[in-house]
Amino acid sequence: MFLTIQRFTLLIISLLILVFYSIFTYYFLKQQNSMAAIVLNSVQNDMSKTSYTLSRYVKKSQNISRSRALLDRVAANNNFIDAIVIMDSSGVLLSTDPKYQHFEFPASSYLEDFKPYDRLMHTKILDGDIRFYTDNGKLQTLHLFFILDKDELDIYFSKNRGDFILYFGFFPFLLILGVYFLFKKHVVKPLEKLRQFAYYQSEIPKKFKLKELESIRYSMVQTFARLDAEKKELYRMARTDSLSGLANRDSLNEYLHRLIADSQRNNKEFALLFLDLDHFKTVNDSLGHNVGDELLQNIASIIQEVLRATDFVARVGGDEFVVVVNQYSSLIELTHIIQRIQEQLCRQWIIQTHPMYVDSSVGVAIYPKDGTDIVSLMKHADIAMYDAKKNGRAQYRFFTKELNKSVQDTITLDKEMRKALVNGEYQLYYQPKIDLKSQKIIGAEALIRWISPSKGMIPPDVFIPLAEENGFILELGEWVLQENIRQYRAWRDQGIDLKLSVNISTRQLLDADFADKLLLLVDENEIDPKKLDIEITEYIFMDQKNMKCDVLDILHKHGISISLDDFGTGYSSLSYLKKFPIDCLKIDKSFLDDYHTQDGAIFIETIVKMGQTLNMEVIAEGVESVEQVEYLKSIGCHQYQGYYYSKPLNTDAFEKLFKASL
Amino acid sequence: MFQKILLFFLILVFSSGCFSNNGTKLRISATTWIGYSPLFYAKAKGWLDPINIKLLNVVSLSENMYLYKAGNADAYVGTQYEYNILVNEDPTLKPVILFDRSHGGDVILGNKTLDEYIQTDEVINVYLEMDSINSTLLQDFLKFHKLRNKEIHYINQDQLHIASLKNDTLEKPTLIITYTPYNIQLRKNGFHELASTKDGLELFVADALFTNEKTFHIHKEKFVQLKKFIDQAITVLEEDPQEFYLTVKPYLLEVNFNEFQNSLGDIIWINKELSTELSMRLNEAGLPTRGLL
Repeated sequence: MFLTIQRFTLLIISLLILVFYSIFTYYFLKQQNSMAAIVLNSVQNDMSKTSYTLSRYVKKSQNISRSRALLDRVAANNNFIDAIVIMDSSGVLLSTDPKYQHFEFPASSYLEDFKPYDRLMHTKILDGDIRFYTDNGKLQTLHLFFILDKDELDIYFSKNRGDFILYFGFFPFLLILGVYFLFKKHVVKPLEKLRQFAYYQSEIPKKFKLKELESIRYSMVQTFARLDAEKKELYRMARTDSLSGLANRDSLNEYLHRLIADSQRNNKEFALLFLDLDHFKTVNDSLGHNVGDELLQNIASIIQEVLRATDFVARVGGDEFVVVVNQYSSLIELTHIIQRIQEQLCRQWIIQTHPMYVDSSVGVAIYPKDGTDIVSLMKHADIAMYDAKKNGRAQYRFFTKELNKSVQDTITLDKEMRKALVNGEYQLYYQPKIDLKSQKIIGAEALIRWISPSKGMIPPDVFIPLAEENGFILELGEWVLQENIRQYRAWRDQGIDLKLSVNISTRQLLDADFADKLLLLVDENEIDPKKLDIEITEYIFMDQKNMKCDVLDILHKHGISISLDDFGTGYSSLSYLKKFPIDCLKIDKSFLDDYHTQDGAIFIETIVKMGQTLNMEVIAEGVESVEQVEYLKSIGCHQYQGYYYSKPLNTDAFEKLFKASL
Repeated sequence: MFQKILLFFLILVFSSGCFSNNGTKLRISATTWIGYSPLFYAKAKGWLDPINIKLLNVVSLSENMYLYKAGNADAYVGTQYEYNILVNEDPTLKPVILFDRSHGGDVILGNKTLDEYIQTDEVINVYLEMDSINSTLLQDFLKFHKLRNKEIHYINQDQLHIASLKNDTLEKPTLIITYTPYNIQLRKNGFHELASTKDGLELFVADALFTNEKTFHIHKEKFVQLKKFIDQAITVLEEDPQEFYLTVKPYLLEVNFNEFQNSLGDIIWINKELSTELSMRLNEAGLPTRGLL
């Protein structure tokens, strides 16, 4: 069993207290007896003197009253004497206090065997004799009694006891207590702090008052600081590539372990890029390893600069680097990151006056598609990288062929899509909107078409989703608006004054300047805003629940009507019909396909009635047969569009159709 | 744990301190003078014990004073003479309770007529307490009756001893400076009155209880209570002198009720509120009235 210093100190102090108070008790009792002996002696001396004095001058017991002054003096000068009484056989002759006038001869109570204190406290009266000779020479004896003042004695010894307790009991105890607390504060606690510091090293103790303890503390602080620095350095060395300063393979493994666990938990993906410099061996062989090393250092530095804070890079071999990218919204964004790295590396390097160019090949493996553990991910990224080298170097490859093809196709499409806008390969086709009552063309919906010189017509569902994803839709949408307005003016000049609709994407609506740009366009081209209709889908409201209705309100107030496309296919909520200024509901083609079934008809009729009730125009989309037209007419639908009347046409064809319909 | 021990010790010390303070007795030294009889009444009635006052009794005014000076008494009774002796040594000494003023209580007795003293060429024996108001009374008497040229033999005795003198045993011209009740016995012993503070002496004599400032503060409550008891005793004396006499009789030597009644005529109680005139008179006599209870 081990004792703590604090308990050890308490034990010592307890022993000290025990010994000290034993001595104190012994001394106190001895002192009390000494004092009692002094008091007894004092009273007995007074009695002896009084007895002797009275014996000298008393001649007759009747004259004893003359000794009153003496007795009064003796009694008054000794606090422990309550009264003095002189008696003979007949009774009291003289008393210093009248209350003892009827004092009776007491039984002897003097206790010889008692200790002085006990004797004093048990004695009430001290007695003596006055022996005198009368004038005729006869010896007479009177009894002299000294009555002790018990109250005074009690007070005297109580006070003495109190003083003893105070000066020998309380103050030494306080002193011991003070010593204990000082010891605790300056020895026990510092030692405990040192122990905690040695064990946890969490908090450096403040300076101690005691020199020896302070020396220990200072030495420990110095030692731990040195050990900590060395530990950090060792840790850094164990996880850092000494040449490039990047993380090494161990560090990469640790990071991937954490990332895989995290991604598994959150159902997320990440990309592992295996980057290898092309023809690096030639640099080493021709210019020497020192040049190669310096090049690697510069490359490592550049890779770090290019990457974001959330990305991770490690050097895992001679000229091999692994980059882990765990935050990207699409593969396109990922390819941009890869391209950025490759572009930055593909520059002229001047190492020790030697100019050189370095390309890099990158293999990409995606967690969890291409592997769920470090080994498989590394292996697959390595394979992809060798595939990139095999296919001509200075490029990147995804591990899955399908994915690789898909990515490559997407990238190609992205490039061509942008190039097509510059080359004017986009055209607007118009599908007429027919009034069901008059069967006249009362408007048209503009639909974008990409006519590639090499591939022919590319459908919108091929490039519009990509344009939405990479933001090209803003640029393309602006072109559509401009082209539509230009076309409206052209037709208006020809006397074809139709209301034209254009589809607006979510991204366009979220553009803060969209309303201003559109209204400026309308104003500049001097067209009636009422001749312009924008079509939005209800997915906008689902995706952008918190979208402000300001944009739609502004456009609506300026006279531009707003149509809700594909109504019924999304989250058809009445709340946004109330919240947003919708002028027209467009029933999706899927409802029209089922118009002949009871369930399908109910939905169409409900939408039409709702439009009527809410004072909205209702247009049926995808109408392909006369039966559908008749049905729509029968339920009070306002307009329709579809292949029954006309497919989307280029401007020339539309003009001919319109003129023919007149 | 340590806090508990500390608390225990603090309580112990505090309680012992309280006990010690409560147990401190106030010791008052007094002589047998009719003006102090209210003190004896209070003692005989047992009023003093509960408030822890111990009354010491001595037969000499000077001894009474020296008892206080020696520290065996905390307060003492006396006249302005005993006060003025000690106030020079302790400026904080002050009267706290007034008892009476002498109005015939201090007397000069003799065995000759006044003319015989004036005409005599013999040495005059004078019995008195030297270090007391007796001396002042004697000087006042000698001056008033132009006896200063006489040869005086001073015999310093306490009053109890003086009271045992008998006229038939003294041949030489003798003067006795005494006060009531000792004068009663001396008259019985054949001496006759030559002068008193009522007649034949100009001296103003007042009796009070004296103590110093420190003692007064320590025992202030006891003094206040004592003052109430004195007033109460004087009220009893005025309403039922017989009861009062019977209670204090053991303290007053062998004085009968009539003699006691007569001696009361030799003093005037001044325990109540002082008139401005009396206050001035007391101050002139060297007895400050500020701070009196």
